[in-house]
Amino acid sequence: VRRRALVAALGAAALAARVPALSAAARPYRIYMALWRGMTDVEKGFQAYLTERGVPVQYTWRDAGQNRAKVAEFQREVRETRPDLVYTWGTSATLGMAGPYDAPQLTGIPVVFALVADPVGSKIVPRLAGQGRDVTGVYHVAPVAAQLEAIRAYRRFARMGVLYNPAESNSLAVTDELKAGLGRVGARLVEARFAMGADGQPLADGIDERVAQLKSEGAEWLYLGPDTFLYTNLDRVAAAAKRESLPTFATTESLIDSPAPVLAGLVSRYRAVGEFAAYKAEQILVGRHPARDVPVETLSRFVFIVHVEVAKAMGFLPPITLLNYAEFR
Amino acid sequence: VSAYTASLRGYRLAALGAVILAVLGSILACAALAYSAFERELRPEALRKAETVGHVVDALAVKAMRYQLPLEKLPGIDELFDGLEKQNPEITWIAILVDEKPIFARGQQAHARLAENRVELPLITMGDPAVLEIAVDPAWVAHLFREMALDMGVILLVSLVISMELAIYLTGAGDFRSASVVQGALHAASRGDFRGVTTVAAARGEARALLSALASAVDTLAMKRTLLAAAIARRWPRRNADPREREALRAALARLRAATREYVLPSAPVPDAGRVDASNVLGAMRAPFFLFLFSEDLSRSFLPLYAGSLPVGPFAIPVHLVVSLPISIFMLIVALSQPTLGTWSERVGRRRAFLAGGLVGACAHLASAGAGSLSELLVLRAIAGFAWAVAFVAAQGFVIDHTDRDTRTRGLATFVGIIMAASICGPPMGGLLADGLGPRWTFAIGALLATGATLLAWRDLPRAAAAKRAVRPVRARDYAAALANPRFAALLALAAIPAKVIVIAFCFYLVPLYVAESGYNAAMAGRIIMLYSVMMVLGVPITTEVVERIQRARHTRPHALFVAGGLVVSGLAGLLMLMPLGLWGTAVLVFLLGIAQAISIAPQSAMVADVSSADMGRVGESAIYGVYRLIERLGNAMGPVIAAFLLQLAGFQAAFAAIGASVLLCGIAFYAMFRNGNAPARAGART
Repeated sequence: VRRRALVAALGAAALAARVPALSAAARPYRIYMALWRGMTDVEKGFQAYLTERGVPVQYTWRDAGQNRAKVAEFQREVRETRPDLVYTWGTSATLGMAGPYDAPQLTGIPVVFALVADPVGSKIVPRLAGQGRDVTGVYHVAPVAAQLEAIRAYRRFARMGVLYNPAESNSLAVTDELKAGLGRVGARLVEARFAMGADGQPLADGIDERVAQLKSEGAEWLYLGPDTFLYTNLDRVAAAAKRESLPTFATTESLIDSPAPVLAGLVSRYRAVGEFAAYKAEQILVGRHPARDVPVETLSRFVFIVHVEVAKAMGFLPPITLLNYAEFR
Repeated sequence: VSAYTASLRGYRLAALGAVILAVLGSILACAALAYSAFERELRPEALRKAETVGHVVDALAVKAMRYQLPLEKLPGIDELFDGLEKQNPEITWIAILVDEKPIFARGQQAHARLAENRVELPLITMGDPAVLEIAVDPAWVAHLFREMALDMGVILLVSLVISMELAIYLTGAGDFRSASVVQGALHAASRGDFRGVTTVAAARGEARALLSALASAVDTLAMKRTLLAAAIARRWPRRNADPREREALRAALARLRAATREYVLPSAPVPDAGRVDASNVLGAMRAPFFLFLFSEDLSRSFLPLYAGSLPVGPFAIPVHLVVSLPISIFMLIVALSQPTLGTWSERVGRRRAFLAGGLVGACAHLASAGAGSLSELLVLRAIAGFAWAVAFVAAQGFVIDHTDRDTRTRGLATFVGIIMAASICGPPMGGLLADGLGPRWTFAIGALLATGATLLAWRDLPRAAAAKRAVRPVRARDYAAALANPRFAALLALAAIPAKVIVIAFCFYLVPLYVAESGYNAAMAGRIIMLYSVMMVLGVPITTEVVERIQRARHTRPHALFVAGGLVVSGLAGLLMLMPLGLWGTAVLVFLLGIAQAISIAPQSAMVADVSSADMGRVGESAIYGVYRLIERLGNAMGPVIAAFLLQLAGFQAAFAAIGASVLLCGIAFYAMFRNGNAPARAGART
């Protein structure tokens, strides 16, 4: 405790030394905010953290409205205006702005992303630390072990079903990890894939049949991974699972926040994700660390969310101890 | 002098009795006062705790109500109650009642009968009004006291053993040592035997003055006698001497001779008695050896549990086997390293060997305290096993070096006595410490004790411990020769190995795990394991006595019967676990196991010489016993692995029963084979 207090004191002293210098410079940091679907709690957390830390910032807000063409325009604007830091929301906006690590764009300007489910799988960075490019950020999916522990706390199971898009490398990686995690707790994975069109794109056909098949193969839960195609068809997947009385478990806040009847999920709070991303921005802007030296991380605390109405409708009432720590909606 | 001593002894006994009575009386009075105070203070405290627990449940019910969740349909209420009862051992009944009928209940309803043991809270639910009822165990305070009394009993016994060791240590050195030398010197002088007078150069105070006065008086006397004898010789009359002078010289010589007959004077200056008592065979080795064994025995009651709590790392082996490995590795290293260590410790000297063992042991204990994974612990236990073997062999060698044919038996008996004393003290103290401080700190304390043992040895052990004779190490040829004798092989396979397997499998592995599984702490495991050593200490002398009496009265050697009897009792002890006796079962089992081993261990060792008498000349007694000890110790290493395998396969009862049944069968087979007395071995007769 004493050591931590000492470190805090040193940190405060260092800040006190730095802040007057900054105000003397009187030039706020310019951060370019590239959003994918409007302002969320992530940005609120981001702003609140920097304000609280007394970091002067001048924001430039841009919303792509889920349109990739707009992201390309943002990229041109960033090249012209050369802000101190670019913030991106989600995998699409991040890839659109910074490109994958094997075809990088916007070099020379640090990028901090938030709300990317799997930054390695989606090729934003080759690895989480020592990523070798000036892109860092916060991913928001809980470790598989924590997810499985949460599911088991709700109801124990021997078989877990998963439905995913094999065209997404991210989903393949998550499924492999899930299989390994299940092995460690003595459970098994039952998998089904979305139908694929001739062009190699996934199809929304036969979702009901696939969910029913998972149920008939003994799946006791349906795992909803950070899969983009799954998210776009969540309504149908969740409705099918509900009909089959197969409880669903979400891994991202967008999955559990949708109006689809998803039962439960272990997710990061958006605000906390934004605060952590702002901490990384602070390390880069104020702490003068190159973004390539700031590791990509996830939070250590997650929220267990249960949809009470879904639980009641499906007859999957949560165990009483869950009332102690889960958030009921 | 003897009358005076007798009256002094009587007085001492009376004083001791009075002190014991006074101490015991005051302890009992304190306990009675404390008990009523506990009852007065702790019961309301327990009820307040029950109320707090009630509010925890109530808060959950309120939340369920807020989300319109029907409480009675929520899963996990039984698990919640189980958890609450486990966290709060004084709570023995939790129930939700609707219309005075329990819809959820855990524990013993009888405890809720009296209102003074009970807390009631109305619960808000979506359905009928419900009441939460929580009761506190009426015998909780009594239970606490029983636990404390057991701990006190253990501490009493351990401190008794330790104070005996301490007394032996103190009388062996320092002021007590000086006092005992004064007593011995005066005793010898009063008999007229001045050769028995010794002194202590390092003595202090009055003892020093007394001893040096005595020594110089004896030295002066001896010198005067020598001078006198020389003077008589010088003046011894020639033929033409004066007859009167010749008469006088003759008379002087006669008087001198008579005085020498009555008072025996030493021919050399009064010798130093040394710092340590040489008449106590183990002398300087006793205290360090006891401390060292004690440090290792501390972990007996919790090692399997500690191993189970560590991350397994890359191994994909069943958990029960994992838990057995540290014990097996330790025993294996001990078994394998001992034969070669004998000659090594002879070469480097017992002192250096023991110091090395003590130091390595201390480091291994300390590192075990910080072990981060199972593989680390395994390596450290192997090192500790090696250190144990080094120290053991050094101590054993010390006994052999400092005893001759007449005193060796007594020396080795003392040696075994120290091992048993440490095994009485170690497990229960280790269990107590582990419950209070955790296993890691207990290991750290073990490291401290081993360091203490090393320091004591460094201070006290003689530097140039001349090895008396080379004990020839056991060679492969000896194994072949010894094991070619079918009766020797049968003795090992049917008696020696099964006896070791069952002791180590039960006492070191299955019992600690079973006790933990039944919800008791490491202190309870330690107490139960202690029973084994206590029964051994009490039983071995009795068995020896009885065997000797039968031998004298009937002129037969009843050894085979005793060995078989011990095996049968051990086996029955294992089978006892098939009955639903719970914790009492393990206590009776360990108790019986102690008796069984006490019955068989000495006769079994004696039978080794009987069955291989024909080979003794060829192979040599020490080599035969070397083979016997090594194979017996391999049984030690096998025990936990066999038990772990059975436990993984079929559970506790089956593991206990299977090992018990096998040992029982071994006992019967052994008796069938050896019942016709111990005639010289047939194999031996052929050669």
